[in-house]
Amino acid sequence: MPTPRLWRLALVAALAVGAAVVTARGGLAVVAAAPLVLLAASPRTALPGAASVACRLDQYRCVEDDELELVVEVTVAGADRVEAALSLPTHTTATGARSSTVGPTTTAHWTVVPSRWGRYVVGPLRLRVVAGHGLYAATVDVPVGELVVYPAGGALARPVAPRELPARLGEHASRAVGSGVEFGGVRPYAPGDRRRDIDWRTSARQQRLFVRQYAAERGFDLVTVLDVGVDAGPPGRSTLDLTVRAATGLTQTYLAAHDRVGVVSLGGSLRWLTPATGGRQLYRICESVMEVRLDDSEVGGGIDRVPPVALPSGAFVCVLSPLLDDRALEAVRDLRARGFGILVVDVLTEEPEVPHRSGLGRLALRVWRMERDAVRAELAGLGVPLLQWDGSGDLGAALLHAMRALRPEVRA
Amino acid sequence: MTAAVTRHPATARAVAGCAAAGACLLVLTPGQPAVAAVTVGAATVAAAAVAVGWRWLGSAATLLVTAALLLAGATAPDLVGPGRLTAASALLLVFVSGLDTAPGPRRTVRRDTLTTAPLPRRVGLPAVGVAAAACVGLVARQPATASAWLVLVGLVAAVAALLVSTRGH
Repeated sequence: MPTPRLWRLALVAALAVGAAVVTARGGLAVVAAAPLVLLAASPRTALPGAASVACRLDQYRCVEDDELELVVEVTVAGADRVEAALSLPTHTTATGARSSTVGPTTTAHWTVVPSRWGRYVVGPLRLRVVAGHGLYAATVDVPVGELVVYPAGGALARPVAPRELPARLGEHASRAVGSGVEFGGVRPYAPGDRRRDIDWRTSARQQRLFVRQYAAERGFDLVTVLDVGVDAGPPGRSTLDLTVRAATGLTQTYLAAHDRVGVVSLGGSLRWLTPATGGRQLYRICESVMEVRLDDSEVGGGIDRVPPVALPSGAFVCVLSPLLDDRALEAVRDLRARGFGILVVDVLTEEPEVPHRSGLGRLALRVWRMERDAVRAELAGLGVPLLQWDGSGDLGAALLHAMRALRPEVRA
Repeated sequence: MTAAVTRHPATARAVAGCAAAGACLLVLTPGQPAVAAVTVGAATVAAAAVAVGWRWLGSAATLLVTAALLLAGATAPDLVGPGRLTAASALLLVFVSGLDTAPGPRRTVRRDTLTTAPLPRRVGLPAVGVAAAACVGLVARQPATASAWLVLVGLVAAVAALLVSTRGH
């Protein structure tokens, strides 16, 4: 379609020709000459007939802060200029636009960095091809695609496990004797023992044969309970962001250790995934926790509605919550009464903002702090460890403390 | 060869603004209050069009700058001769081109230029146009005796040029 430049040049030419004719001054035609030459030498028939565009991201699934490459190939002969405007979703940036041209084909690269988990529609990429010395331009919107950004983990450097583990194969050294690789002690030799298990140093010291024993390697079940009924804090570091990142980090770490990991989402509609192992479970859990953002309903009831298969006996439960309503506290009470080992991770990092000069605001803040203290006191009374997590520390020490603090009667 | 393609909108704006100011300065004649008023007004509107980026304001600025050129050429032909008019019309071309390249006010997405035509191709035709304007100025400077045939030939040439332009587009 014609650009404003065409109409403006035509306006200049018409004005100048008209003024020259009306005033009978041929010198005024000077102003019309250049626009008329441009208009006459760039007819519509000389424009490029067709163009092809290919646009792709190098991957459509990534983790927060991954660098993706967007490649655009435009093939058009006879264009004066090709421009591109990339529409990006929120929390996504594009940097380093670079292009190379070989013949009629131009290839451009952008580096796209999504900084927050979620599902985003990237694009469209609006291409504008200018031809005919800037007198004509065509615009086309090219869809790029949907980008799935998984939350980054990193909440836990290495997996920790309770002292006593259920009789299921895994990678954690348990107290029971088995066929693992971690040293578990020595005992006197008995007929049938393997000769390579003999501990020669102990045998020489004791003047009788001793054999080495090894710890059995067991796995356990971890269930993360996400309290996503409330989202507070700045985008990118809100309680929902921290909850999702902590859950993903725990899931990654424990699935890598061949433990079974499940998830229960409180707040909004109640949903759960039964504990399972394997790489597929990681994606199932990631997809599940990413769905909670879209969910603002209040159906499904409390954690007492979760079937036993999703909360197996003996599982360790990690509750991720901002502790801003009673629902998480009720869930902790319920789980504690059923004998689960629990760690509560408080993901609220900021206090509510109140005006400095507002007496009522300060009073409300004091009441709010007292309510938080009451929640902490109740958790302490229940014997449930509470950890404040701002997204930067490691949950390993707190998990280990909570797991080692399990009383025998609450173990399965 | 790979190259960074980010275009700075400020550059296009600066080029367009300087071109409009230059064109107005070239035709600013002392002792002609009407011409001075139109020229100053044209420069002001051109500056506003460059700064704001509204399309209709750009067209108005083009109209006013052209009017200033023509008014100066018509009222003070001794001061604003074909040479000045040629230079001013070349700057007017640059101004119109710069207006088209500068980003509009509602553009929130950054626009990157992926490729541009080589410099000779971009500059060649405008240079031919400016050369044609210089030729027209040279011819107009020659003394001519008014005759019906000359007026007719001039009118036919102008109408033919307009017809070729409009039919081509």
